[in-house]
Amino acid sequence: MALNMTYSAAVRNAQLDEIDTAVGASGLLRIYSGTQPTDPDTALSGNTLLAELALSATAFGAASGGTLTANSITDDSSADATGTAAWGTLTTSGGTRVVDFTVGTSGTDMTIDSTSITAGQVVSCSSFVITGGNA
Amino acid sequence: MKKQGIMTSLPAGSLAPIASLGSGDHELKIVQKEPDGDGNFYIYIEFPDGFRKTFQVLKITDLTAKLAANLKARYGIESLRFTRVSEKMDLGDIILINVQ
Repeated sequence: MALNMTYSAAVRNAQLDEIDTAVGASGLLRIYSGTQPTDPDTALSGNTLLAELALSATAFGAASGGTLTANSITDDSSADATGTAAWGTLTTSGGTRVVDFTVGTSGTDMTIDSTSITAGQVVSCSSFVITGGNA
Repeated sequence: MKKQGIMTSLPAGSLAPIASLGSGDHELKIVQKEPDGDGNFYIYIEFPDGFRKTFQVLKITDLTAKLAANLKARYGIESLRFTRVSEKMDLGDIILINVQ
């Protein structure tokens, strides 16, 4: 028989709200070049910070219907470095990674109009939604 | 679990400055400094209006170009001098700039 574990929306909401709790106040959304580490507990290796966007003081609203939607995210008005965006992460205000995700122009967790980022340019995020799995 | 986000990249200077900073001396505080695990450091700088931004650099003096670009974008500053910045700076130290 196929594997088919499913969670109720209430359980998925609770899981998602834990992300908000882990990010805490005034978290960050960072975009990096290079190979995405295995998971948020794995140190960077050959990754350059391209852009850093500030999450709202309260990063997300309460999860609802199995989705977690970010509150407004402040643009990075001047990208830190030039490179090819490959992945991103949500961190605490102190830089501890909580959620890592892929970044690309299609077929990735985060979609960006161009992965080519140039130091000094503006990088903005208009939408960030996490959908809980096993619905 | 799926993450769905939409980002855009825009030309430099396409946003109007979102804060102002008058001429004269201003302080940029190093509020956090930590290794990135890859031989560089993350330097967390607090701007004069309390905004914080992180820079990934090999050494403190590598900050100046990135700071100047960010100060220009955020405050519209066209000309500034770094009047106090050194390799010996660490957590809690103040980088001084003079805005012309």
